[in-house]
Amino acid sequence: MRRYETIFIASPELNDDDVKVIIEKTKGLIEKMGGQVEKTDDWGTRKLAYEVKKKSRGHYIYMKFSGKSDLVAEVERMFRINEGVIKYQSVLVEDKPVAKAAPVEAPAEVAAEV
Amino acid sequence: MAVRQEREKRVFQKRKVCRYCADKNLVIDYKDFKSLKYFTTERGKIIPRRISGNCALHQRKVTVAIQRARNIAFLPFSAASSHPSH
Repeated sequence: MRRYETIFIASPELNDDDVKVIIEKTKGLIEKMGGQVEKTDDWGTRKLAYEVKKKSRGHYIYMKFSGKSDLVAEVERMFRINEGVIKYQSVLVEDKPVAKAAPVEAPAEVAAEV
Repeated sequence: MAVRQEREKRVFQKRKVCRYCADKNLVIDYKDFKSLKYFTTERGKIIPRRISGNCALHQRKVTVAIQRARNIAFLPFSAASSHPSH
């Protein structure tokens, strides 16, 4: 099992309920495939640095989860099918295995927030 | 003699310390695009190491972080020219 973080951009035209549906669907998929959702963050609507599908704003959602690589592929496949998602990116979290990373990680995250 | 003096002067002016080596608590993260912006030009290009002063290791990390930030539309691939005539 590896840890991943995925950011996806939902279309700004969707209302909050539609976005929630996508989030719940993604969570359900992750759990169904044996993954674990660690964190979900709604970053709200932001301006994009460039237009994506003719839209200059986007609703950012951040998710952190653990799972196997085929889970990531499946999540991305779902994003591709869903028209409400205009862009997505999954990144492997570069931490050492959880047991070792815990003491090292804590101060690192504090620094990132400052 | 004059030329030599000038050269020495320039070397001293250019010496910059890698920000991330100087402060070990700084983390390079593609989500923190505001601090990555410091390493891009107005047009959105990545500033080379000889100017930014980063060490090789951290410059590589900054580059990857900028590329990731670009991909998820935090940073532009290229910004429009500020001159409307172009």
